[in-house]
Amino acid sequence: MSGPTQKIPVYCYQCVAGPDLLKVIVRDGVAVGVEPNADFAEIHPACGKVCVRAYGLIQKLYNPNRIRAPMKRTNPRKGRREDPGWREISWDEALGLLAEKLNRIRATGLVEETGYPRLAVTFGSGGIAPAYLGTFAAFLAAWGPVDQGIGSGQGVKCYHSEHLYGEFWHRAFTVAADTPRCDYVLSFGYNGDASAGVTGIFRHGEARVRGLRWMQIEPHLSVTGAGATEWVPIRPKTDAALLFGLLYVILHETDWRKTCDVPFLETMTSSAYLVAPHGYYLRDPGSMKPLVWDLERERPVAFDDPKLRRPALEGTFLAAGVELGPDGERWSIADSVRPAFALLRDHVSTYTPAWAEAITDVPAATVRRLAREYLSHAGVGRTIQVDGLTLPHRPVAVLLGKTVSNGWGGYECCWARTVLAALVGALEVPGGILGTTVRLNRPARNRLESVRPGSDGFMAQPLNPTDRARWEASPHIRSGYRTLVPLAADSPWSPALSPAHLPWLFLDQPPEHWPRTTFPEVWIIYRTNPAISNWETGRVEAALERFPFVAAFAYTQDETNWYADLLLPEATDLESCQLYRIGGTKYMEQYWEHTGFALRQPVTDPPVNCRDLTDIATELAERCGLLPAYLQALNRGAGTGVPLKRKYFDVRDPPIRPAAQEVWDRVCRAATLSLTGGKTELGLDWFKAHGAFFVPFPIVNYYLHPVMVAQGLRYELPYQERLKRVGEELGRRLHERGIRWWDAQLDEYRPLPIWRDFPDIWARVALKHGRRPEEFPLWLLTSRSMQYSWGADVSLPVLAEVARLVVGHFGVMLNRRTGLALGIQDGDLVEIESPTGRTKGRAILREGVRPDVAVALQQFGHWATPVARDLGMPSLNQVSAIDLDLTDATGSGADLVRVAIRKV
Amino acid sequence: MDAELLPAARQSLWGRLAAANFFLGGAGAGTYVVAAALSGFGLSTLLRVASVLGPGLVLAGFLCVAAEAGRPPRGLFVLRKIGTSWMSRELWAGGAFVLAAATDLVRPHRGWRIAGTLAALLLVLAQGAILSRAKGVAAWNVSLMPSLFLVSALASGAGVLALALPLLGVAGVGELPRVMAGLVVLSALVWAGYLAWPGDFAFRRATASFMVPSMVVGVFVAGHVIPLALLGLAIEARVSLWSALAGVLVLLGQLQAKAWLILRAGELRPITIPSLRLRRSREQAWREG
Amino acid sequence: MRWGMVIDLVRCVGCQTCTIACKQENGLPAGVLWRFVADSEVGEYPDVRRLFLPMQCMHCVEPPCVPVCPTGASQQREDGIVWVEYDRCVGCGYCAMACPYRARHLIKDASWHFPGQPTPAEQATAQPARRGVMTKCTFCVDRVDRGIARELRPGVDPEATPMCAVACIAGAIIFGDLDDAESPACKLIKERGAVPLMPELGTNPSVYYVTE
Repeated sequence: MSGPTQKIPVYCYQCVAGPDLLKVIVRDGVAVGVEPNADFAEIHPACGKVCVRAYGLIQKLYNPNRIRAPMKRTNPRKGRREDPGWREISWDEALGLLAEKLNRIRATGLVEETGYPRLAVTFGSGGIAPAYLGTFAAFLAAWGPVDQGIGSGQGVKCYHSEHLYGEFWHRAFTVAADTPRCDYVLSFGYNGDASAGVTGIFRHGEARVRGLRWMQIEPHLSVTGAGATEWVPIRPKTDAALLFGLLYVILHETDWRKTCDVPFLETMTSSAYLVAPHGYYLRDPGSMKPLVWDLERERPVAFDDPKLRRPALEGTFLAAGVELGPDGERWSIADSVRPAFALLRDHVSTYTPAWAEAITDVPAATVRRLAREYLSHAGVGRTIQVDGLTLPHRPVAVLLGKTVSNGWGGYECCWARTVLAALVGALEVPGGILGTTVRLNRPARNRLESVRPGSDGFMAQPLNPTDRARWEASPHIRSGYRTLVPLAADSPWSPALSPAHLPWLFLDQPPEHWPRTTFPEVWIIYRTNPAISNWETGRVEAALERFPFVAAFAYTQDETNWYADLLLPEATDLESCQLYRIGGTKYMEQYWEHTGFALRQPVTDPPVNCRDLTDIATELAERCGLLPAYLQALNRGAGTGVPLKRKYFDVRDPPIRPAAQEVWDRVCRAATLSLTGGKTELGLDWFKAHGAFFVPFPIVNYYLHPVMVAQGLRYELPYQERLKRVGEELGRRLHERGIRWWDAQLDEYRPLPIWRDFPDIWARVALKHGRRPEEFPLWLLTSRSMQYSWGADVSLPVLAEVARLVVGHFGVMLNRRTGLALGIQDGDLVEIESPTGRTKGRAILREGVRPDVAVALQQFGHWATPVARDLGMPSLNQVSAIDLDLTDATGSGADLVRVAIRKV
Repeated sequence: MDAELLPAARQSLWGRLAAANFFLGGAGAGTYVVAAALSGFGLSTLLRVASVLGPGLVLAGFLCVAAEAGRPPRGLFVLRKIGTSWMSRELWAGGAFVLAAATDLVRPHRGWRIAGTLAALLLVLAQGAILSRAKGVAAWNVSLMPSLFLVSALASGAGVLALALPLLGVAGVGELPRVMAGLVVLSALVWAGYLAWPGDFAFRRATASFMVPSMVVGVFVAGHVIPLALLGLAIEARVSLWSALAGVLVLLGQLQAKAWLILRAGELRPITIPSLRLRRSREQAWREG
Repeated sequence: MRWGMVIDLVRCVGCQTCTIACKQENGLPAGVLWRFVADSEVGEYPDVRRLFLPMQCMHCVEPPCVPVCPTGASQQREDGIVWVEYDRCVGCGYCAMACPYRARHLIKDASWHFPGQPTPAEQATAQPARRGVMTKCTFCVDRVDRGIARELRPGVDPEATPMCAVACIAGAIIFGDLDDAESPACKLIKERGAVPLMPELGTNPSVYYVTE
């Protein structure tokens, strides 16, 4: 690859807000820079730009601290102070060693007596791993049972409640504002200007210039708050109270019949469904359909009665029918019943602005103003033309950020936010809140197609069963999501969305009637560093010492692969080949007017002895005798996302082992054929030259509304009858097994969520450790860094150089007056102490932080990773606890902890 | 009011060596000027001493600053822009001064002494002008700077002479203590005037660091008041030791003041933008008053 | 013809993409940034505004750095671009003291991002002529000149436009001819009331900022 300057198209998917397209500038065989791929400026939603981290790719490629060849551990003792004694070995020896371990598993049984798989695989990096894994997923598909739930991090740190409830309510794995058509955003800590990638940031910028009013409600003034119209400081973890206060103002201080979108409530939600005394819908005894009260005929009718014109949203009615409870229980009812909407109004009647002020520290007048501004911008009744279709236009959105949309209170916030949208009809319509993609529902590539009719006029939901016959009593993997979390569903993504911290917690002290966490015989890890990214990293590290065999795909030495037995340097971003789906709608604010595929390809000879993951997967399959099954998996599209139309691999025995380039050539051809309805077939060489292939994607496909209307479906809001039933059943199942330690989580399954003193849950952690809550007067929070997130960026000096410019990196932010009251000056070394740990860092005194809050960005505390270990960053993870009390019903927690801070 | 977006930051390019040049250049040029003036531009031991010491100090200063430059071998390029740059003028003046003084030693002539004196004066004025043209540094970017440097240089020069003459065993010149006392008074006035200069906010903040005991005592008490007392004694008792001691203190005072000026007050000015709107909710504004 | 920039602070999110893209485009060594985005705060809690301020050479119409330069290395072109002729520069740092915008940087030695030796990319992009001399943002003069030679339009065609503007993900940096009232840059100044930094210093900067 030597010669004059070349510009080689690739994609960057180092965060979930991608992929984005770029060109790598290669001069005389050396990659010297990257630039936005202007060829796609008209197609890419942010004019083909790539963010700061893509410019780090060159340094990532040539990082001298990379693992330069496969390495084998020679020191059998594992510990932080034990040098692994790495010895360089050949790829043949490395894959031979791994295959030997894997074949031993195949010989003894894929699943151990406990029911847990003997092979565990953990992918880190949020949702981006698939864009770099080559065909490794096809190897796993060929393998059989694999535990993918150990420490994967995502149950611990993500928009977890939003993922699970979002998919449940409106096929929204992540929720975004329809920013280009939105006029007013209430952002509860949503930090999209740090996390939503180039498309999100571009959309936000355009909208701000257009006049979008963005109210940022958060304890510290984030990067996103910087661009907001207004910053409303709020006490941490009290967002649900403010959201409930907004509901109160709308439903009790305005004439909701005028301010809300009543037709939407009547026809697109379950607001009119009658709720009977046991808390379940009143149903027609024959059809079992939920009933609504017909104001014209003055009697209950099925919700989908074609003659129904005026369903009641309020009032109390005497009606007869049946209630369907848990486990098929039925009650015949002839009693007073009320529409769900009436119950909603009653439910929020105590959540007044004054009440909210006392909890949130946000003035009651502000609560009222925000609610009224939200209503006044909603423009109920307005329509807009999209792709020739007339749709409602509701330019208001409520967005949630991390620590708001996960952990205790996450359900309450997600529910209130979605109800706020439903009240004005701003759900899945232009201007309102939209889902981006689905990960629990199928098909994953098209969320509109995932909408199918289910029971009661709602979408079909893929919840894990809780009935006696089908409930999974013994967890099939160590995080037990099918047993504990019905909402996690059971897609290939579900293990990653399981309570991934429970395996660490249950390692030596399993709770009653729960199998002890065993160590998998082989643990393969890829781009994951739970010793840094999980909470209570000391506990995680102690566990890492005890894994019998860990094979780590490794970029540099890090805190987790320090405990590995085998380091496998896979070819990284600019060294390996992969075709990946791009465009359409996806995570964060990826909304394109095109959809297609983009190629990542080697741009130069690798500077280290690494190997393409596709070749590794293929060779492992062969060495494990799985080549036919692996090729069959590829034929199905497992791992590549593209079934191999026409170009199937021959799986006759003995099959020929295909090289990575051949695999991807077939995938390229199948992908273009599928996109063009069989009209165009383009191979790998074409993609290498052009980078990506697109076909148009209609804007109307951003919105669920037309599909819902076409299928006559409603959103399962505001009343959570199904969840109430699921929670009741789950409780019975667990209690039947004697499990009582999940009872606090069961309490979350309420049809209308209530405010609980969520901050107090964290304050009480001190008592468990023999300390007093008053000893820890501050909240330590974390916040997203755009410069540091995934992608091995912590080991790149050039990113440290520019990250340093964004205040908060390399220190802990405190309110200036708080700092001075504690005798702390800017730059002082401080110790941060929680009931479970300590960390140190430099104080950064700022004004944009609440006086009771400290902020440590992202996840650090490295001691093994080159460059990162010298950054001296304090980390929330070192002082936060892995604790069942901090785990909510969806199995997630939130990134915050009560701390004391003092000058060292 | 303009909003400050970036606070002032200590400049780091000009360090101790640059400060040394400003001190040594001033002291060297001042030595010659004072000696020439006291000698009435005639031949004198005093002037011979100054003809060696003055250019020596100036050259030492240039060596210091050259050592700090990024490309010292290109040092003579600095002569190129005499038409616009005071730094060029400083080097030309310094060169002319050294040349004139040296020539006078070899081929004594009153004309060389006048030329050397003029060049020395130009050198110190150029040094002051260098700073006063530095728009990036608020503490320097004031029109008083050349005057400050001139007076400081003369006081320093007198100090050098007062110290050097007894050391070299040269008989003291009767007028030196009186002249020196006058220059010390003038120096105190001009430094005080500088500190009271009606500069902008950035100037006032950058120079506020002077108001600490170590600076006030060092520069004004030890560098001016005590030397004046010693000079009084010297004039009264005609003891050159007192003058020498006063010379030491004056030099230390001027060194401390110039080092402070370059290293401490030498802050890059804060970055401001006109009329930036703050964002505050009405309720908060009301509650917070 | 007067090249200039308008930077829209309403769009800027402080991501530092321009910072790193500039660094790459100009092959700058470790520790040297010709531009950066400052993370500023104005006011006191809770009445505080956080603002991201991209800083770079302002290519002033009256550049204080040019007349002070004793070697003539610091120069201004007819089109307003202020630049340094490295071969003439002695690295005295005077221009850095004269510049109120902190836009001048002395590259002392070759310094690599990783201790020891340069990466292949650093080796390939190293610029020995810049060692020991003053350096600064040049408005990517090579891109602009090459672009014009190819009849491209600076500010419109990426290949003829400064890399910071090309890279900016928020569309916050607009490059153009400030003498052309019809240029997008001029229109933006007029329509959105852009202001320069510290106009009272009389430097007449060619970089304007939109704040609202």
